[in-house]
Amino acid sequence: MKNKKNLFKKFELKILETIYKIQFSQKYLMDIYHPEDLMRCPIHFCLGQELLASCLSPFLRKKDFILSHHRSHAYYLSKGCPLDGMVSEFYGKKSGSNFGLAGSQELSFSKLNFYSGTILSGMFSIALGTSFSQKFLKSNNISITVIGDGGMEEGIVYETLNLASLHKLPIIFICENNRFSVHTSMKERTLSTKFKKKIEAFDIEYHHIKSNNLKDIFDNIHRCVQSVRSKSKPIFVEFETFRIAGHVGPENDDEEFHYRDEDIARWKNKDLFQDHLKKIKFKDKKILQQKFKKIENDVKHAVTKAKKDKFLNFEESKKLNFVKSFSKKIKKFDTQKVNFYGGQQETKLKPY
Amino acid sequence: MKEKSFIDATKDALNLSMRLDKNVIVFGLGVGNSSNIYGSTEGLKEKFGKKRVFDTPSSESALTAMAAGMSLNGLRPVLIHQRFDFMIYSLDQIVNWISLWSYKSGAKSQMPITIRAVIGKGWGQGPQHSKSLHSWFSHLPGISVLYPSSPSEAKGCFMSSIFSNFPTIIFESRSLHSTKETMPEGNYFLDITKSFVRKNGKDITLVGFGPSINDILDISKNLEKNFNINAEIIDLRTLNPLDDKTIIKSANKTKRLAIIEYGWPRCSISSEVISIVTKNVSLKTKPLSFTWPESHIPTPKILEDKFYFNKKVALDKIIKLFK
Repeated sequence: MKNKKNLFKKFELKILETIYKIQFSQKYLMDIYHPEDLMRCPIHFCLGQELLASCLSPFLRKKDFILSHHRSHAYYLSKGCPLDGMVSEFYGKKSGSNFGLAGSQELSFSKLNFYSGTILSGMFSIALGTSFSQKFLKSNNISITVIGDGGMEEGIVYETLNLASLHKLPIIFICENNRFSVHTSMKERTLSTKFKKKIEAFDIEYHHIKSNNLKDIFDNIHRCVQSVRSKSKPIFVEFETFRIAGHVGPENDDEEFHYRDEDIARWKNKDLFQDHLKKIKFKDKKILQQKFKKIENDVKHAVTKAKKDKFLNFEESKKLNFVKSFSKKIKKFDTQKVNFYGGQQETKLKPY
Repeated sequence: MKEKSFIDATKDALNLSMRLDKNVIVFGLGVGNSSNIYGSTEGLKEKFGKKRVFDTPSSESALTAMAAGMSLNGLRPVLIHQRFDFMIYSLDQIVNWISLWSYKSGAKSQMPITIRAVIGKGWGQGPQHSKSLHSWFSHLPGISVLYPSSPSEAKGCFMSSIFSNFPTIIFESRSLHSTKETMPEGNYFLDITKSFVRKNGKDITLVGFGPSINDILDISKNLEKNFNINAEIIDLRTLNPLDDKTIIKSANKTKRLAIIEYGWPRCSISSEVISIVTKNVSLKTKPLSFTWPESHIPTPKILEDKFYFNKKVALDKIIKLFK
């Protein structure tokens, strides 16, 4: 117990710093998104959904994979991927993590094995292969994939759970359950709202993490990472969370659609980050204030820089679709000989 | 050099590739199991172990995703669909993820995957085991589409595809499985971004791929022997990217064009080749194309015989171009 307390203490400031980095970057970008209209891509801001990613951050290794759904910024930053690369990507600039071609929804940073994508559940299932390779190569690295409660409704999810269980793959499936698929509540989408039953049907361990306090979130996700790394078996984590931002863009879609008034009443006064800051010692607060100031400067600087940076040349961009390259195992190509003679009898199939 | 069947050539390609690189993984429904994909994966599991060669549940979509993920971390997966029609379940993975991957990452990340899709023809294959949607996939940027026409070409296409750094779908016709060809033993790599001029000629360019090459070679022999028409034969081999240069160069020389395609006519490889040629070459005669009719594929043999391409009809129409 003591060790656990110490471990949280060890990472406490780092986690708070990560949360602030995510929150401030989101708020700052939300404020300038529409008036400027220079970030010409749909952005799914993750304000409110930054806690689990931040608590996971200390346990991530460079070669672990994170494969995230469209609301990915928290996981991108928690993996240690560069803030300025992300901001430039939103501005569509060549200096972006993906030369500006991906935008927010398909953000990636391959050097640190971070990928994301917007078509529901694709990343969830691609984690099958990254984790298969990690196990096959005996690397002791793991794959973490993030999905929303909406994504859980795609058929491929259940094929994926079956294969992950069958091959005993080192994956943490994280479902950030904010109870809404765009503006449609879970109650309107299914009669089967309990993920536990569905997950356990595939013989996969299920964990439910509530947003109670930071240390609980930290301890729970730590246990999951340790277990997947040591046992090489998948774990499914359902994390209860609340999206402060609208589904897409900075607009407050609650005022427009009133689709989750009950949820707002339940969550609006909850702020684990601010609650936790109140408990921080004076000395640490001073340190954090300096770190927060630096984060604010970094975000502002990244925006200024992104605006000045150049766009990719269109002709260059076209070449990125298909790169003709081969493994070094091919020393040279053979010249095809003309030994095939035509008019051969076609294969007569046996029944079936 | 040894004469081998298409299936044996494919089996050789898989064996040689797995021996060459321990990160080559082969899987799909029926792999390492009784049917062993018409015999082509026979013995692989015993030789290379069940971690590298394995049977699967029928989850085409997630299996495609699994191949995609494997390829991001150093493996070279080969996913096999013993019947192409089931591969359609994996459209989201192929279209929204695999074909887009290089572009959206700014070419910083690649997916070297080989997907092998077998197309039936003959006894009972009917409308659900004989479809050939090669042109659908050739529409996409970012993915290589191959359709080998002979045993040695199949071997070369498979080996080069497995050791390429881009994703590839290889279409394969069951009608060619027993066809034979003399070929080199050992590793065999072809430049799978180029078409193959199977025969030089001066009077007409005959274009084909996959099973139509078997017909075209026969037609060409007949044209030469009985009508003194010397055809040049372009075996496309790659449908995406198309090797425009080779096609245009040949059509520029012969000024006549005919194409045979085992597939539906609209938005097809035939219409694409005709478009490329007519935009770039002044032909002496109208281009000809021989494709499937605009109909699903019948099950009864008597109707099936009428559905598929008829060599005599094609021969007669080609001869007419010279009258």
